Amino acid sequence: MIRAYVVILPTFFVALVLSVFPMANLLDYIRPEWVAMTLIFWVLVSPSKAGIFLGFSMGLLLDVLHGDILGLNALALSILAYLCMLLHSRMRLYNTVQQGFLIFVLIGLYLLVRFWVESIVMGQGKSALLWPSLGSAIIWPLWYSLLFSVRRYFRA
Amino acid sequence: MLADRYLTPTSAVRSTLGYLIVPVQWVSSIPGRLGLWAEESAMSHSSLLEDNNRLRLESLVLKQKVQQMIALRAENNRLRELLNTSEQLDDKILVAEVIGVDPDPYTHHIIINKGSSHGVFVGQPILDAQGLMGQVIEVLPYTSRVLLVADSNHAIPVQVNRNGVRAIAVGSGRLDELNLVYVPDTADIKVGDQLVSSGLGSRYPKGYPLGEIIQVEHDPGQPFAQVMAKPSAYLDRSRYVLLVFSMESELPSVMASQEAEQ
Repeated sequence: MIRAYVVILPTFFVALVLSVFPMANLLDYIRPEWVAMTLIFWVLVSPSKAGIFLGFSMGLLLDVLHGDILGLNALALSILAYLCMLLHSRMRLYNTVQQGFLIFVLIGLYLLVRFWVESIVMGQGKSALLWPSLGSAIIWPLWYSLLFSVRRYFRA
Repeated sequence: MLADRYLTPTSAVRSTLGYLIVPVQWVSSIPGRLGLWAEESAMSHSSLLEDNNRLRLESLVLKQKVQQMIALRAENNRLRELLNTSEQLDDKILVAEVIGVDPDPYTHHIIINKGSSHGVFVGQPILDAQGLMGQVIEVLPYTSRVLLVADSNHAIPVQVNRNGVRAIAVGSGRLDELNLVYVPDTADIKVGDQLVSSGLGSRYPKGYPLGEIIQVEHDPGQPFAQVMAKPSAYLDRSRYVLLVFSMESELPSVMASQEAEQ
């Protein structure tokens, strides 16, 4: 159990770094939601270890990192983790490109939740919905295979 | 989340979590620092000498100006004494390094490597060598987040240096443009005028350069003139910034009432 988290947490660390990594201006608009994708991956492959609580705690870190209101990403990622737990048995049957389409929808929903809550609490939301979801869907097969080989290598 | 918006105790949670994200920010700033280091260590001997000479000359010129400044400041203070107004004090300054930029393309925030453990506070003004950059909006133990003047959520009271006309400069969301709002058509503002902070609103200290007017448009269909300015600070390039500890801004009553408003 602990061995699994020794692998899971560093992958989230990498995702957090990627989520604030400086990029070219245009690429910024389609920056994939790395943390959300990593969460989806871990819920997908080992739903017994990764779940809503992991999503919540990573969301809190993401909030502080991005300077959003505390709990915004925590709520959105918890909902995302729940959705993935409902979907994971079906998602496993697809190949990674087909999963990409589902990722597009899931990340879109995640951003939508974030946008809703932000507009309710702050009066205005700053999130773009479409392009980051598209970026995530495109990069998903790569990210999935990368994380999968990491997981296999460490037998987490 | 409502708690975060309307209560203060969550800031304790935030700063505790802030310790956890220090390594993330450190790692994400590695490429930038690596680039800087490579640039510095690959510099040739001759260009270093050249740099050294240029800097020495510059420092000489600046020293001469400082000598003049001291006399002028003393005179200014004597005159102020005659007028029974408060004495002007030097601002203390802390140098910080930019270690990150907000990934969201719709906001203009930067992250600097000084935080509450260095005495940084929310609302503190930030400068670079050219002019005002912005203000601190969030303080973590070792880092803080700065809102740049060009962000569309930012406004700053300014004065035209030439004649003292007051205005408000609102960020446009683009890094090279500020808009002056509510400027009457008859106001004496021309292209090329320098803008300085007016010190009203008691957040920014008085007299730091903000930018230069680049366009004044009088549209008969609009109630106010459309005035655009270009920030003089290098908002997208500065690596080192200055945190100002202003002596004049310690006005407890004003600050308290401002906090009550927020």
